Formats: sequence, C-alpha cells, structure tokens
Amino acid sequence: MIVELQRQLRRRRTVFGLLGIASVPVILAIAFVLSGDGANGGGGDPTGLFDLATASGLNFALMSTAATAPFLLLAVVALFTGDTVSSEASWGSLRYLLVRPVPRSRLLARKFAVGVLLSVVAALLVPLSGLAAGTLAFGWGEVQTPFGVLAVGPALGRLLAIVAYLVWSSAWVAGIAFAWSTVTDAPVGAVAGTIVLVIVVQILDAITALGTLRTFLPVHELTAWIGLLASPPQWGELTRGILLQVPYLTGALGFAFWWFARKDILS
Amino acid sequence: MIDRRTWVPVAVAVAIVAVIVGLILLGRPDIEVASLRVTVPDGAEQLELDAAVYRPAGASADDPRPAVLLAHGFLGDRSGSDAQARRLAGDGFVVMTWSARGFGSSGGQVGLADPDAEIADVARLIDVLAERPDVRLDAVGDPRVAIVGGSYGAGTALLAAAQEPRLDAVVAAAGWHSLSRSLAPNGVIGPGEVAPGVLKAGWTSLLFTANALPADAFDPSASGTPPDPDPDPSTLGPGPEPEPGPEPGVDLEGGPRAVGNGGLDPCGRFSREICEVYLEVARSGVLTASARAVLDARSPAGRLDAVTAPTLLLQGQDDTLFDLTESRRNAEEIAATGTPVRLRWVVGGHEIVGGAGSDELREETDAWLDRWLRDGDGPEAPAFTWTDRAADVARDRDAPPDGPSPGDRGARQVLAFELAPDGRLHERDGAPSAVSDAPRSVTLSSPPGGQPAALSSLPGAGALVGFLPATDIPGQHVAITSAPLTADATLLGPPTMSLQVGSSRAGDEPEEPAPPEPDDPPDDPVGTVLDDGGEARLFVKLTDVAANGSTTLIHQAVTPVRATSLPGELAVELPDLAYRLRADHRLRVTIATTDQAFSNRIDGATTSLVLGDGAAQLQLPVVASVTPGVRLPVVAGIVLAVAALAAVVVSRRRGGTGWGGSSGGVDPVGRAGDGVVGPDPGAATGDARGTAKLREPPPIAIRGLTKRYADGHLAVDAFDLTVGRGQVMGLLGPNGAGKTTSLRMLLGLSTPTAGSIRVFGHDMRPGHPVLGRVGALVEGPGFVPELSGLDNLQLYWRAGGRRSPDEAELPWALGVADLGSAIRKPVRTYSHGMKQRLAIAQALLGRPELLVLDEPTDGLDPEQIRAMRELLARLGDEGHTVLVSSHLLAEVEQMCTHVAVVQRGRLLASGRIDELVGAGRTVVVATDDRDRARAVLARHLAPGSIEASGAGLAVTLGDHDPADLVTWLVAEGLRIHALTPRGKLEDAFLSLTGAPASETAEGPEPIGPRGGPGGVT
Repeated sequence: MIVELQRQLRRRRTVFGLLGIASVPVILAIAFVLSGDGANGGGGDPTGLFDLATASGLNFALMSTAATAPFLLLAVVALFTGDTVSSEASWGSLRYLLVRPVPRSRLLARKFAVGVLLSVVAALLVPLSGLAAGTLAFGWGEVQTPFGVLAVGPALGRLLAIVAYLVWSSAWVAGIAFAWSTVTDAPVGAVAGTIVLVIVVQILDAITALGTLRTFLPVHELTAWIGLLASPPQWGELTRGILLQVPYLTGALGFAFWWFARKDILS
Repeated sequence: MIDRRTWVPVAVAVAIVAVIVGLILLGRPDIEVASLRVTVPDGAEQLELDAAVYRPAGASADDPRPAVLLAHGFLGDRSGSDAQARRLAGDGFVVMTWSARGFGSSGGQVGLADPDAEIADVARLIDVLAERPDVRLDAVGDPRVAIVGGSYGAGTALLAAAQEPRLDAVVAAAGWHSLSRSLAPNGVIGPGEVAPGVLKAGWTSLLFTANALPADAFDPSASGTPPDPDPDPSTLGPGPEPEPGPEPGVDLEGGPRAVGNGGLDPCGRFSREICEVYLEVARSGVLTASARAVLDARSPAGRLDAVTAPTLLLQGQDDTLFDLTESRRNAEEIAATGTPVRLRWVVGGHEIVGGAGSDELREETDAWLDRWLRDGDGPEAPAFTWTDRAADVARDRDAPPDGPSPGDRGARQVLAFELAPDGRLHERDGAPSAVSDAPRSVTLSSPPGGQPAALSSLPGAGALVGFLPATDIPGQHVAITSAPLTADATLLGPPTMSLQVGSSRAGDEPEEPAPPEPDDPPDDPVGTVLDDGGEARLFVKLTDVAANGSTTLIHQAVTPVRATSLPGELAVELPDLAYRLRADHRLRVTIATTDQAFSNRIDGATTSLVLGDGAAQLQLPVVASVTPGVRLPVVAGIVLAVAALAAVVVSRRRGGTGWGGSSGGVDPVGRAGDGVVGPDPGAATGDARGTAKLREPPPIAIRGLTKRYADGHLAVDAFDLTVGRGQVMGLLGPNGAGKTTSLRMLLGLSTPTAGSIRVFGHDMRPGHPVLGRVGALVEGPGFVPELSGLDNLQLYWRAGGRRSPDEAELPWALGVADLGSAIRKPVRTYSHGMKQRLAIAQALLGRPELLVLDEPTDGLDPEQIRAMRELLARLGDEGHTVLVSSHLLAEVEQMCTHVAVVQRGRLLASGRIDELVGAGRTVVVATDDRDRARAVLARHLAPGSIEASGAGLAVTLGDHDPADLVTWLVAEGLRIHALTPRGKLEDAFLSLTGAPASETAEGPEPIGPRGGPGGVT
C-alpha cells in the first residue's frame, strides 16, 4: 500500500487537490479580514456559524469546515477515489498492474484505501488550515457556538469528531466514484460524473415535495454534526447519518469488486 | 451514433426525472373547500358564523372520514387556519374552520370564550358536521371529531371539551388555565388570603386593542392555531379567497358604535361585559372581584374534570402570556379523572402558534389526531416532554413536574438558596442557616408615576426579545447572585420562595422601615385592605448568568408579588421552570419594584425587604440530569462493522489469493482452486534437452482455448499450444488472428469462454502467484506519465507482492532499455521507441522464467531489433522461455526457435522452425529464359522442387548447393540476373494460410474480411 501511496502522491492532481482545498480557508480568512467588522454570514447559512466566524481561530476553523462540507469536500473525495483505477486504465498501465502475482481484489483494495486516505488528509487539511489562518487573523480563544461557549480543549475534540463524521458522510461519494472508475476508462468520466451526481442528489434533497423519500438520500443527514457543538454533545443525532452511508458504501464497493474481478481488461 | 453506451445513461436519467416529477404530482392532495354560514342562537335571536369545510377527495358517504374543528387565535379570523386546514385535509380529515363571534365576517361580539356563547357555538358546529355524509359517526348525531386550537383557540378547545362530550380528541397549544391568573398574576400563595394580582398591562392592552384596529395592523399570519410551517406549495392553489373583515367599529348586531377617522372605539367588537371588565381593569390596574368572576367563568380551571376526550397540551417555554404553570395545571386537572393527556413543552414564546410555528407542533398534532381519531397504532407517547434548550433536545418523562403540595416537599429534590444582604445567594444543604449573615433590611423605591420602569420583555416580540437590552433601574431593585455552580442543575417545576417584606410607604410619608419580626404572624389576615403596612408590589426574576457575563432571563418570566398585609412573610410560588442551569453559570434573583410589562404603582413608595438569616429563601426543584451518550445502535453498528471486516480479512488470508480465484478460474472441467498438474502428456515439445524436462510441467500448456465475445465474434477457436522450457516460441499470424487475445487470457487479463490454460502446471486465474515468474509486454507500453522511467520500474516491481528491490536486477534491465539519462525524466517526454524499450525492460525485471512479448519490435529501429534478437536467443540458451507474438515473418524467423501459426483464432501448425519448413532451402532464380532454365534444372532436381515464382523460378535445393544451380544454368548458356534466397517460413506460412505472397509482405495488413472487428488481434 505504501507503493500505491507513493504512486498517487507524486501526481499533480493529488498535490493540486490537497493544496486547493487547503487554500479555501485561507481565502476565506482574507475575505473576512478585508471586509471588516461588519461581516455577517449573509444568506444561505444553515448552521449559524458564519456569523461567529471571526470570534476566534477555532471558530474560524469550524466555519471553514462547515463551508466546505456540503460540496467541496465531496468533490475532492470524488477526485481522489474516482481517478485511481480509471486513470491507470487510460494510461495503459492497469493491465501491467494486473499481470502481477497479486489478486485483483487486493489491488482494488489498495487503491481504494489510498483514495480514502487522501480524502481523509484533505478533510483534515481544511480545519488545520482554517485554524492556522483563523488564529493568525482572529486570535486564539474559546469557541462560541449557537448553543453557547466551549472551552478550547473540548472544542478541539468536537472538531475532530465533526471531521470524522464528515469523512464518513462522504463514504457514498467515495464508493460510487470508485465503482464508476472501475467501469470506465476515462478518469474524467468517473470524477465529473460523480460530482454531477453529488449536485443532483443535493438538489433532490432540497425538494421538499419528495417528502419522506428525502430521508433516504445519502446527503440528508449531512448537517447533523451541528449537534456535536451543543453542550452536552448530541451524539445520538448522528446515528441515522452514520447508518445511512452503509448501504450506499457496501453496494457501490460490492459492485466495484464484483465487476472488476470478472471484467476483461481491454485497456 | 446512438449505441448502448449512449442511450443507457440517457434513458436512466430520463427515468429518474420522470419518477421524481411523478412523485411530486402524485403527492398533491386533492381538496375541496366550501364556505358556509352556520346559524347559532344568540340569546333570543340568531346570528351567523362564517365557516368553511375542507373536504379531501375521496371522502364520501362510502368512505366517511373523521373531522377536525380548527379554532383560530385572537388576532385574525379563520383565514389564518387555512394552511393548516389544507394540510390536515390532505391527510384525510374533513376539516371545518370558522370565525368565532366578533371576528372576521361572523356576526356577534367577542365574548372571550363565553361558555354560553362561543363555546355553545361549538356544539352547533358539531351538529353541522354530524349531518354531513362524508363524516364518520360514532353514533347518530355524534361524529368522530377533534378540536384543535392555539392561544384563544386553545381556550376555546378546552372549554368546549369540558362542555361537549361528543368531542373525541383535543389539541390545545399555548392556552390558559385561569384567565385571571394569566392576566393579573400574583406570585404570593400565602399565608392567608392573597391580594389581587398585578395586571399584565402590556399583554392586555395589546390584546384588547387588537380588535379595535383593522386586522392588518398586526401580523396577518399571527393566527391562533398551530400552523403548518412548511406548506405544500401545491396546495396553495385555487381556493376561496378569505373574505375581508368588516370595517372596524361596525357592529353587525347591537347598536352602532362610534366610528370614523381618529375615533377608535376601545370596545371594538367586544361584548359589553368584556369591555367593561377591560376598561375597569385598565384604569385601576387591579382585578376587582367582579372582573375576576367574569374571567374565571371563561377559564378551564375547575371545569376540566368533565373532559373525557384525550388531550394534547402544547406550551412554549418562554411564553409570557400563558406560562408553563397554566399548562401544567390543565394537565393535572384532566389527568386526575384518568383521561389520557400529554403535556409537551417546546422552545419558544407565545409566537409558536403564530406564522412561524414549529415542526414539533405539527408532528405532535398529527400523531395525536392519528392515534385518537383513526385508532392509529404506534408507540404510546410519554405523558410529558420538555425541551432542554441548551442542548436543543427534547426530554421525556413519565409525568409532569409536581405542583406544590404542602405535605410532600421532602420527597422532591430541591436546590435551596438563601438570599443574603451581601448580594450573594448562598446554597443551603437542607441544614438551616449554614451560612447566615446578620439580617439586614434592603430598601427599594418605586418611582413616582411608575416610570422609569425596568424592561424585561415585550409581549409578542417573541424571538426578538433576546436582542433587547434588559435593564434594571438602580435603586429600584436588588440583585442577588450565587457563586458559580459546580455541576449542571436541571430545574423542572415551580420554584418557591419565602420573602420577608417590611412596610411599604408612599413617598410622602416618612421612611421608617419597621424592624423585621419573622416570628410574629401578620396582624391582619385580610389582604385586600390597605392597612398601615401599605401595599408591597414587587417583581421577581430569575436570571442565568454565564461565565462571560451574558445574562438570560429564564423563560422571559417576571413574577409579580403583591401583598397588602404588611409587614409579613410571604410564601411565593414562581411559574414552572424547564431549564438546565449549566455548571460554571450563576443564578441571579432580581427583586424590583417596577416592570414595563405590568401595571406599576404610581405613588412612589419605598418597600423594605429583609435579607439574611433565613428571612428570604429560594427553593428550586431539581431533577437528575440525563446526559445523552452515544446511542446503543451506533455502538452496536460499529462493533458489527468491525467484526464483519475482520471476518472478511481473515477469510481472505486463509482462502489464499482471494477473490480472483472464484471467478477467474479458467478450467471448465471443474477443477476448483489451484490445480497443479504434472507433465502434460499432450505436449509435443520436441525438445532435445532430455527427458528430465518432461517430468516438469511445461511453462505454457493451452488446451482448447476459446473466446467468444458478447457480439458473437469468435476471436479464439479451440486453440492448443504447448511451449517448453528454453524455447523461444513465435506466435505468428495476421492481424485479427487472435494472438493478443490469447496472450491476454494467458496472463489472466481476460476470461476464456472455454478451454484451459496452465502456466508451469498451474491453472491460470487473475492474480495467480505463478505470475511472479512471468514478465509481460502486452499491447504496448503503459506507464504513469508524470513519474520518471526509473520510478515507474521501481514502483512496478514493488507493487507485485513482497519482493525486495535487489531481486529486480534493475541495472541489467536498464541496460537492456538503454535509455541513458532519460531514465530520470518523466515518461510523458519519451518517444514511442523509448517507451517500448522501457516496457521491455519492465517485462525483464526479475529475470522471469517466462517472458510473454506481444509485438516487441514495434517502434524499434533495426539496430535495436537486432539487439533484441540476440537478447532473446541468449535468454533461450539460459533456460528462460519466451513467447513472442508477431505478424512479421522475417522477425519470427530470425528470433525464434519454434513457431506457432495462427489464423482466425485457430492454430494451423506449431513446431520447430526447421521441422516446420522441412530440411530444404529454397532460392528464387531469375534468368532470361525461364522455360529453358526449368528444363535444365528438372534434369538435376526432384520433380516438384521447381515452381514459377513471379518472373523467375523458385527452386527447392534440397541437399544441393546454390553454387551447383549456378553451374548448371551457366553451363547451358543461360544468364542469371538474380539469385535470392526465399524465406522458408514464408513458404510454410503461405502454404499453411493459403495466402498469396503479396499479402504477407512486411507491413500493415489490409483491413479486410480476414481482420476481425477492431482490436481483436
């Protein structure tokens, strides 16, 4: 797996993807600083954290995490997991990887694991860079949440839990992108297709006329992490969100492994 | 071109869109709305109420539905209930809304839920419902009906439930228990008779002037019923326009009132009785006995024992008009007779029944109606639920919090404080006076004229209140604060206080606070008469002070305390709390002489309070905090997932090389797993290295290999091949013969349709360990373009199982590739030839025993081709086995020791090159007279060894030397223009494939019938 990691880390898209998502909090910090004290969250803030973003470095890290969670993080996950197999196919090197005394499933597992690892790194980079940028811009201090005030120690723990939940909530994207990349030879197809799917699912989630069907969409519980900021933290609220990912992930991965094991490698 | 790859995703997308649109369209309920006038008796006469019935499609005499009566709130008329009525009708109920007397376009005057007027009207409405065929009946004249209302509608609902036994369920949100207590509260509960309360001036003036002004002066969405905050846009379609109310001040019945611009009749549409009560109370600021009687007649208090319908009570925790105690007392009174009741406290103030209602109200109402009107099944809801605002979570309990009852203080948990003169609340552990300061009197003044007054809340401001700076006026109040709490304290229920109040003297009287005498009972038990002690009017507030100093007025509640028998020790009960006081927060008790929301005294009196030494105490009812931990399903889920993962990993390890085995198995005879086979009896190796080799399995043994594609094309047809150790086997055939397909199946990249492939005796399947002994170059190079050639090779080697870099023989392979310094440049900068050489080097990594090369000389220049030839020959000599596929005859002839000729997926011949072509050599000789040359040669050579070939003759020499040929021809005088050897393999190939010479020249094959569909070679 280290080998696979080295293989992926040296690619430009890996570096650019990580740098790109890490630069988002920096850009936001600059924006907040430049816009002065009158900055408020404006419309479209479902979490109430945007108003409190400038309260402290940790607040800013929280806000950047909240800002990237609905789309940007999912897009980066799609990039890292959807590109792995199909890019090898497009270069023609996939067949050589398979002419190895290594079973196909192990190869697939390694690629998926590396894709997930990179996604986790990307997810961690956002609060880290937000913390760095926020502390530089707004100082260190306790966290103000819509529920009250949190001290630094517990707040860091909560932030870690929130990032873990967000990473898990992107499991469906990882699974579908990966499955798609085993089917197609064009990495753009897998990545862009998955991103389009993410957008479509988000739109569907917003159509209230669909009623209870929406509760089965994988992004429906995406904002449940807000409960972790309450005092005491509401772990139970995340239950449904955690369980919701399971069928999508297992279905997509199951398909990917099953299909790849049977497939005639023609690339 | 529309092919499967295009239209499948398009069709899927279209199908998804169609399904979504279909669901949205189907989800729109079909409702009919009909307005009607209901005639009700009004004393000796009659008046008409404006009503409407919302009927769901499908409700009819064959399918009768339960009915719901929706009562509206105090501002507005039945139009405010429209959205909720549509929603309930969409759920399948027949809904009736009506404008109460004096509202909207109904007749009559507002009697404020008069049991003889408005409440009696409900009976008449039920009669109307009973007459409808589409309403379900429990008995003749008794429909299955519920009544739902908020604020004014809630009081209507509760009073109706007490009076009308036909009601089957009740939902009352933000209602009252005792109107007199709500409008003029007094926290004092003893000793002795309690003085009349202090008027909530803010609320009462707001409510009573509301009906004197046009309805749109206030928020038109602030109606009384729990509304639908998420209205289905499809139901906001055509419906009856709500009719505008009559002009303000115009009375439909009774005499004309004063109207006109600037002249507002304060009575508006109120009945005379109510109007008189209001005017009197507004002037004096005190409820007289007659006023109290009028209000008590319109309160559910004391009447609820007659309620048999299951009742759902909802209340906002920050409601300042009807506080939590009102709902609790309603619940207690109803529950006392055994009627099912559920009490739910939600976050919010009185505005929860306004336009911005909450999901919780909607869900609770739906669940209640479903359960009691439709006999729904479902888990029994707990009797009481409140909302912990700090954690934003609802907490269930089995019973509402206990009201005060003298005997059982000891059974409850209390957090007791003593108010000390040093401004601190001291916690007491039950032992009396753990900390006591010398008692001291605190004097509070109230301003003459009642202003400036402290600002705590604004009626109806709802969520805005948090933004108002609450102010307390210095000199008018005393604020006593506790130390920071060491642990969270969950307060649930009514707090009690005891206060010792000295005399209260008006400003123009000498200030002489009487010394406190806590042991003397007050002299005059009758509190309504102002005696020498004066009247004490105080306002008590509980505030939550956070660590950073920010304050929260708990439930926005201000409790007035009014006593006239002074000096005295007052027992005070504050309104119910549902609040969690967090650790590190402090509790503050503020006692003030004024408050903006109430009717303040104007005589500028001073009041003295005694603090310390047990004179002033506060007791808060505490319940055990339940901290929600990680829920059991989450833990169980994680454990299960980890266990499943571990099981899968363990089973993979034990099952050998894993998944690929079950699906990639090549052997159709049913040999599962990894069959190692001994020497292959069918092998025709012809190998001269001795019989010892025959005991080992051959490197490649293919039997009956067949590949048929999904479109029916047969790429490989019962192909048999055996390659022995040390052989350099050439796989020869035109493009489209199935060479590459066979190689792919050999390496486990494709799955054969039939046949078996054994490599070193092992049945081939994808990822088989025997591939560690194989190096391959298939269909061109494939590298990661951004990495350097060296990186590609190194990573490739390490990707193949646990093999150390030393075994790779990298220097030797790099020497073969001969790329020089370019090896460190990214592969995307390479030319095709460089990539090809690198691919060959990659195949050679680790000096594999078996080398499979597909068109290895593609893109190489002649020098490199020669080098490759030598390399392969050397490898063969060293005992390695090589399988080379090519369509170029000359190459194969030069590189290989053995050859297998393939055409159209079938093996035509295989064997040593020299055996295949026979022992003879052939030359082509061009002379000036062909026929004569033929005759000459025929004399020396066997018949059949001479053929015409183009302009010359192809002569099979056999044992003769070409020099002999020259001699014979020249001896006859023939001139020889050219004498060239002909490729032997070419002969054999031509004879085998039956193709004319020109078609097999070195170069690209024409794409004709012999070449299959693209990419099959």
